[in-house]
Amino acid sequence: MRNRSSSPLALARLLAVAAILALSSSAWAQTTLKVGLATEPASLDPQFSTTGATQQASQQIFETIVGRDRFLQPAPALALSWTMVDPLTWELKLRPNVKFHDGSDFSAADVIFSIKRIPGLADSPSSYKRNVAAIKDCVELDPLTVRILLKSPSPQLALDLSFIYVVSDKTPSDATTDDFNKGKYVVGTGPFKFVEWVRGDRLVVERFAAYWGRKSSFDRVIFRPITSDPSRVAALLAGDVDMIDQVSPVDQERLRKDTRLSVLSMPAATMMYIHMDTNRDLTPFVKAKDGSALDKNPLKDPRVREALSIAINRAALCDRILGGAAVPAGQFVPEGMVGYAPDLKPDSYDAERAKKLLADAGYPNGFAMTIHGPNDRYLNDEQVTQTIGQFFARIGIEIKVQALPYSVFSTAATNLEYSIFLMGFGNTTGDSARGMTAVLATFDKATGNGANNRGRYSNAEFDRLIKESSLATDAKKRDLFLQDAARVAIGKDRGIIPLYYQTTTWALRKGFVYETRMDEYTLANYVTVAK
Amino acid sequence: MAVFILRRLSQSVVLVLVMSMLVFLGVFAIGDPINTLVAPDATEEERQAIVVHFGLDKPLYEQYGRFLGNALRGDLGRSFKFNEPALALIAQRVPATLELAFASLLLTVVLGIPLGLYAGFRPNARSSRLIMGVSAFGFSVPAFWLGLMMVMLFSVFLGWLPASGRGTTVAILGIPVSFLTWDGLKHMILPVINLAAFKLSLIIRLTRAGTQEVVMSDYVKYAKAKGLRNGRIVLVHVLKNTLIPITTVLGLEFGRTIAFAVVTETIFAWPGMGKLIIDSISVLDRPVIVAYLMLIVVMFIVINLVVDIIYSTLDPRMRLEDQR
Repeated sequence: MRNRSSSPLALARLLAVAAILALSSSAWAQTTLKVGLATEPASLDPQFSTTGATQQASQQIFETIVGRDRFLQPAPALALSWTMVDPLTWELKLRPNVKFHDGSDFSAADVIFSIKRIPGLADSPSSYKRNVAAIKDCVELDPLTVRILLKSPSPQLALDLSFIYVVSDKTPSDATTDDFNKGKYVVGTGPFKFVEWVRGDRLVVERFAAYWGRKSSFDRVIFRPITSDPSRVAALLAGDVDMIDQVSPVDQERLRKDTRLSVLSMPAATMMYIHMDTNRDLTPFVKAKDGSALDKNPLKDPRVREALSIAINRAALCDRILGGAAVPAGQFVPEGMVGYAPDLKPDSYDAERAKKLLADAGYPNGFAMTIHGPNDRYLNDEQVTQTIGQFFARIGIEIKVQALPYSVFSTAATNLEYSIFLMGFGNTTGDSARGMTAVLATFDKATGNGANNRGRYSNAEFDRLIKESSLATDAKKRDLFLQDAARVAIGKDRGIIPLYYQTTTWALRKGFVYETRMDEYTLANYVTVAK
Repeated sequence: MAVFILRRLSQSVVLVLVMSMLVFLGVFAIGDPINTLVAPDATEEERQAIVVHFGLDKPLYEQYGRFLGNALRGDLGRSFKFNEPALALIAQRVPATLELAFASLLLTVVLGIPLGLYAGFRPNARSSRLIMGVSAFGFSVPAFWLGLMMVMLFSVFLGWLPASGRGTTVAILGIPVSFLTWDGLKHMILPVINLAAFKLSLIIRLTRAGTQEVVMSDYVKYAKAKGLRNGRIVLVHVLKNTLIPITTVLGLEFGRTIAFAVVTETIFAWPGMGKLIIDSISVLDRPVIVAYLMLIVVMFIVINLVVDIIYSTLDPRMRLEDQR
């Protein structure tokens, strides 16, 4: 049924191609794009790790079943369409005439193999298992049609499938991560073919001539991990690389003035917020100003939380502390994503009303508290924590600020050792469901809800809305449930205080253009040379 | 000598054991790797599965026991993050770091000792003062600042040298090296200077101090009175007697260079061990941290042993004994 070229023929074809390549490269210089990146993949096995750095590499070579556009919304990729037959059955129509890098044809068998391979990869600390958790079985109806049978209804299926990278079904079932990292089996359908990977130094790919989609403007792309911010900028200025990602706010101003460069920004999916202990009657880091214990936890009172929220001048924070590399946030996701409620605006700054709210709540003279935050995880996180501390001091709260390495900080925060702290969440799925379920749903070990609910906010109405949204099969209804959930947990209760969405910034040499994305990835296929 | 080496090695075993315990405890105390490794939105069930998979649910002594058992069989564990053997990950990075370290050691010895000797012999000459001035600069400037300044000057403004990376490598016995290609050499110049700056200054100052002291000694005066050639006085009488402290310092500094070249490697995006260890610490990839620190302990033990052996060849009066 499957049409795979036999090996002598393939060899002959390869030789012919090689000869043509040799001729053409001697006639014209190859065009090479050099990219300096802040991160490096953990593995070249596209099914090993969900971390952004790894997916960024996978996206160059492999493709997902369902694609994601620059706003993280599902788009046709290897699957042209996905339709629900009944709540437990979906049908995928696959794209015809798609080739793998080894010349073989892409078909239903590859999709099924890729879905079934994931649960067997036990060693990954951030596995794709959750994305296939709802799937009971997959059946091939014909080479271009796959039927997916579910355990329970899942309106998120398209989203989940946008995280399943398709590997060839010729990949041996015992292929290890090591094999992939050595370059074996790194055979996808994506815009670029794998050439070599030297960990810590470079990942090299070359254009796949038979790619079904838009072909790259470059013959070859070299990705170089340059983790230090100033070094990455220096590499761009020195002409070692053509473009870099994650330009820090400090450098942005300078680079924008440089006429040899262009600087591009995009609001990213990472939302920064203040998390508070909204549940316990006594909380460790809030005290009376004389150091004595308070008889109750002020952060349990929504009025206090609102006071804290309007005490923060978000515009100034984004502008001064983050150098314009952030936009104020009033809810979990930015506009354009599913679950965005248009009426939920960022709280506007009003220190006077904040003081009044504090007085109404019974703290006319404020109280004393310590705010914690990481110092090595997010953009300028330590300065942000300090600035927020100062905003709180202005409304009469005696504040101490403590910033720690994320490894130490996150352990303590997860163990509920703090009262109020700075955190971030990457909305990589293009909707608010995942983030709100993790951060605001009632903590429940069994279901996994509230896995990141380090303040233990809990509201039955919110939980109900989240549940309804997860059962809704109609996309519009689901969106409305999520919007309502945001109005309850953030608009009314301020279970968390949203601060801002980070923006991601790229810098390129003049003449290069990049189609920026919300997921912060640098995808070489979307880099072009201006004519 | 054989007895000395044997005794030293048996002591080293105890040392390695004690260090392994300290390292393990220290890494354990920093924090729980699960929080940094697992996807932020992982369910509790996924989280638990990973905890069990990595053996993090076991009590500390059991984890340590298992580590020790595996270590005796030459297995220092698998990286949580990369799912590759920790030793193999480190081994991939060793050649790049060693290349930088040896090159900077070479630069230090070839430049540092002659300059120090010169400055020691003619302490009042203008050139000597210049040497000492520059060495004070190299001594006091922090490596990250010097590195970035050199990049700004030589790569960004002048465009003579590449700003970062390793350049073209050639494989010798399967090990990639940079120093055999012109492109690779160009990539090495700045990091090597950056790495050598501190050591070079240190060695110039040590050699100069040693020389000044030895020049005043009776045997040098006697040698002069005997009418020996200057060259012989310098090479045999002065140099040999100043070399003892220099060897000690060079040995230790060489170890430090290998173990802690991280600043230079980060600035120049040099794919060595230092970058690996810093990345591993930030995600608490315990097996890699532990394996790395254990390797460093062993390396320092070996370096000290080699230094002791060099002493005895430099100065026959020294006997290979352990100080008690």
